[in-house]
Amino acid sequence: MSLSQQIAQFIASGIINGTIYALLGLGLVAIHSVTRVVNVAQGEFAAFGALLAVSLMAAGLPLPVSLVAAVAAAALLGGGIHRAAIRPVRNATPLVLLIITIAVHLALKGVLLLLWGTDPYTLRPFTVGPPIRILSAVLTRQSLWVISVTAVALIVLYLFFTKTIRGKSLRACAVNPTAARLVGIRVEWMGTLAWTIAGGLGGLAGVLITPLTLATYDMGLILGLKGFVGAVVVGMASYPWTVVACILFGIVESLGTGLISSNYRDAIAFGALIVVLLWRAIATLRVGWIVSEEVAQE
Amino acid sequence: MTQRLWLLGFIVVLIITPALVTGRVSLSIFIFVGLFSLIVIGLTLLAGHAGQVSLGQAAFYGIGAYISAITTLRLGLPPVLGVMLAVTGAAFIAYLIGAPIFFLRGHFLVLGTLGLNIVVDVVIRNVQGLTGGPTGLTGIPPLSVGRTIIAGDRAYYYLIWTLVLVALWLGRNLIHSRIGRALAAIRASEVAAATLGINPAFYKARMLALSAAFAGLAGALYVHYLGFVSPSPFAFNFSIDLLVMSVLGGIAYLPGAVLGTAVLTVLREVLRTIMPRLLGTGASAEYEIVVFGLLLALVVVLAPGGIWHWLAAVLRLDAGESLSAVSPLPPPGRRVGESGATLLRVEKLQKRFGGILAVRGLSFEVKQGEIYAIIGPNGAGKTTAFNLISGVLRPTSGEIVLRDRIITHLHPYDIAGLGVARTFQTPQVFSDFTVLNNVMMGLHRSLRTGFLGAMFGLGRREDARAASEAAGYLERVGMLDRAMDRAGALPFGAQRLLELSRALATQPALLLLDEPASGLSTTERRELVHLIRQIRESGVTVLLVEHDVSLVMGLADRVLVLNYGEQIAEGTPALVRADPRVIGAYLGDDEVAS
Amino acid sequence: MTVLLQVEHLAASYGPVQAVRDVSLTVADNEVVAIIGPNGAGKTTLLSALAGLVAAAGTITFAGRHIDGIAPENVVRLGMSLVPERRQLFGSMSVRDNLLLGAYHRFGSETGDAIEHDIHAVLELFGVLNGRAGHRAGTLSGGMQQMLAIGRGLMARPRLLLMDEPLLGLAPLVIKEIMRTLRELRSRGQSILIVEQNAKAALAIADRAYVMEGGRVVLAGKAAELAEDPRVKAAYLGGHLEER
Repeated sequence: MSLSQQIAQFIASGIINGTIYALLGLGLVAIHSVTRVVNVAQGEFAAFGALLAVSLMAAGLPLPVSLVAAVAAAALLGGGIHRAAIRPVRNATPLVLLIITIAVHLALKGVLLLLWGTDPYTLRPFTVGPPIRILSAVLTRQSLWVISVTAVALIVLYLFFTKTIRGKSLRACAVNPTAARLVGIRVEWMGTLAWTIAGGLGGLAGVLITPLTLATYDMGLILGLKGFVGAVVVGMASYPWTVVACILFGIVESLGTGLISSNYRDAIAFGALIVVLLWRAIATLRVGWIVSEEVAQE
Repeated sequence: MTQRLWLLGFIVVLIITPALVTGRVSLSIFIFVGLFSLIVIGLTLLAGHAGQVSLGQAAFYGIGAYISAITTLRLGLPPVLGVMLAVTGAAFIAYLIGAPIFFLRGHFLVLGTLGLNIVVDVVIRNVQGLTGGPTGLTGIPPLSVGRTIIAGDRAYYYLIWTLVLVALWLGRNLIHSRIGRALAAIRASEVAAATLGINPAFYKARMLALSAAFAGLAGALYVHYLGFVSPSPFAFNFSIDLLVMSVLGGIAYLPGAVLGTAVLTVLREVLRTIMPRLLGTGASAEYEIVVFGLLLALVVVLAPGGIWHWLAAVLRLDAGESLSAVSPLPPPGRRVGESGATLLRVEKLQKRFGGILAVRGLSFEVKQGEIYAIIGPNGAGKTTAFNLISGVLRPTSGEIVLRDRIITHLHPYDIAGLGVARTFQTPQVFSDFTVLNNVMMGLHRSLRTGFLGAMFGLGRREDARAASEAAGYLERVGMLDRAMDRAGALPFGAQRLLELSRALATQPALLLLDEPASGLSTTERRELVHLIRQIRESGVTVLLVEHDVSLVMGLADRVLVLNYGEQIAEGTPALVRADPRVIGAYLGDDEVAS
Repeated sequence: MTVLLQVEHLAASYGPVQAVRDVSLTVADNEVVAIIGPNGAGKTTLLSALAGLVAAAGTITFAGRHIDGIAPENVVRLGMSLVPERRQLFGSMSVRDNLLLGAYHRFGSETGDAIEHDIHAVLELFGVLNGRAGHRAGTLSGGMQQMLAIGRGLMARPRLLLMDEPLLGLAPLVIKEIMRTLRELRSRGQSILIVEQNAKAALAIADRAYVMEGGRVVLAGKAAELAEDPRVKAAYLGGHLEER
């Protein structure tokens, strides 16, 4: 393969990975914007969805049913965690909330370990067939599934947030919780909804990626972190930009891995995270000392 | 007194343990508890006191380990030197990463440190020539001092636990020092701390470096104890374990660090040996992950202070503040300044929030030695103007000049350093501090003890003198009898007074008072006026914002009236009060009512 | 005149300050009542307590029901809508969305058409907003933001509209515009309880008024009479009405 073909290939696979990270990143943004929590356990939704789908298939359910059921279960798990672990302590400091999500991460990971053990599992690709050539890159059919399903999910999310009253009220909670209360929005239930959406998105990421790589009980943390990189680059604020950032991040990671060394994959990814954080820190210095100016208004 | 007894008892137990340990239980588990305690002490100082959670301590542990291993093994340096390099190397890297990141808030450090952990892990595994890759390095020489080689479990046990005790001592000194107070102030109210001259990012970064130093030390000791090193103990999962240990023991308590580490390590051993037997499987007992997760959640929710906090309550170890008599020193006398010279100049100041121009084209001068008041109806932009002058907000355009120095874009702590002090609309006292300690925070900038000095307890004398000075400031506002009260328990008027006293302790040239009379009774207002006059007598220039027009009229030399973010009148109180535009601004225009 | 809102011996704190000490007042159907007084008198805390945003002691009866301790999300469902101090708009959302959300509690029980109809009506009422339906709320000028906030409050179809300092920081021309709107609402029979620092404007629009100072009501009566009362001016510009 010529260099340009290689690069095209890296970019293609970077986009695929970035799409997965984007699903996780979106979930993180939803949770953070509505409930002000950094969810360290976000990746566990993906792991759970993936492993559950595998088991359902193994139990004899047809593939589409398994996939949908797994995603739905992950969504319910998300909502359940909010009600069980987050809502009761919603007035705690951000530090405590963070530690609670770490606890949730540990507990979920442990449960996954108990139920599925340390073995890697795999799911067959959604459709079988030869890979497809697009421009200079060769994509497996599963990769196309990842892109198209995610695209559909993003469109659905977009419509939800911009066209439905429920979606708008969720945004309103993130923008101004006090005003949201004043118009009658039950902010706590919106928190549960945000977590449910995040769970579903995580589960979706899990079932999409499993045919491409293997699913294990501990796959969650790294995935979640990579989603976080994209989300934090754009300030955990904007859904569309989070998607763009995650995809770019996927491309950077893929190019770095391909052109430098695959052993350094995670180092490149998180080295990029550190660079981004430092860059944001320096940018903040120039803008002003208090970042949230609205808070300081008379 | 009881605390000392328990400590003594603990030390006795430490000393005799090796003699008691035989047979099944190896001394090594105690050694590891000691090693991990070192790391967790650093984490407790960072997370509990500086309020910064790090999920990267395992990385610093690993960095320290490998630095010492490589320098002693490959470069042949003496182990003691290797250890020192490990400590400084870990601290340096932490400072490099931490310093800029702390300008962000909250969760960025958590993820930055987690990212660092992963990067370090990958690098260690892959730079095989240097680190030996996944298989690691063997044949690392044990510690030695001159000709004496330190080898064997017992030696390392005593060495490491001595170091733990030293670390506890250093940590305790730090907490009770000027630095510890600054950290607690930052945790309580970063804005208030900044306006007292404290740079939060600076302190947080140094605490990260300190915690990394402790972790690096543990890493270096580890490799010389074991004689070999491999990447697996330094993975990010261990960083999470360390955080669990800290939280379990009590994230705000140093003894909790040791307690939490001991409990978790023992628990892990128990789970590893018992669980397979109980559940009848041969699988590795990583069920500990679930247990740890649940335990963490339970502790955080039910016993947020951690096991130590609970234990201390049960054993009644609360010592309480020692109320040794503090004799007040009278505050410094009148400072002589050039009366009439311009102290503060504000030029065409603007501040825009989205579609709203909160302050527009504000220009005025405050002369040395005068009492200058800004009045105007609610929403006129007064507090915004204050925030701009004190550096808490950045102006959209315009200039602010103090004496002849442009301070427009300076940080609040730098502006405080130039002699500007302020109070806030809602008093930002440090609620969990004593009244005396609050005022001592005002003296913070004038004291000299740094991190190292504080750790070795060298700031005691300076602190004692500072306490006397602080008492002097309290006496001046009539609050000396409440010096040991908890600031948060004071009535509102007293909190205002405390905040004022604290601001005066910074010996400012310019004092900004943000609605000092709001919430005060009539008597309190009278006393406030009297106090402000005294402050002016002592040479401090006062710039205040107020709603109580009659209070201002009797007090100020000159008055500026704001409305809709711009000035509509300026002059002596009498002149301004009669100005129809001013009356219209407050009561509303006749025209509008038609 | 049926009494819509009855407040008896209300006390509430704003942080560490006891901002409202002892306030009793009533608002009747089809009535505009103003609460005026200098800043720091406790007016905003009073409205916050009525809307359920801060805890309060005392009795609040609305449309015959005791509503002490009710959460804000439910207060609007009972028929009392607050236009908060400093607007509190959904800044990054459009004008239209802000209005739509104002009617949140009506979704499910009313048709989308009814709500759409009301959005049109509100945009008509506030001429300047018409044509800006798609603009982000945070980019509007102060006056337009205030109108949007009032519009959002109206979208809830409240029996009683609470307004917290709607004229705050606004230019005279804008105040005129808002006053015109308030008069329009008044003529349509909307009950309003308005807290305002700008005494002249408030008294011009209200039927009755209370003057608050230091957390208590110090004067009360018909708005027209209070407008002539010299004690009102004194309350603002010095010379306290009441020694605490």
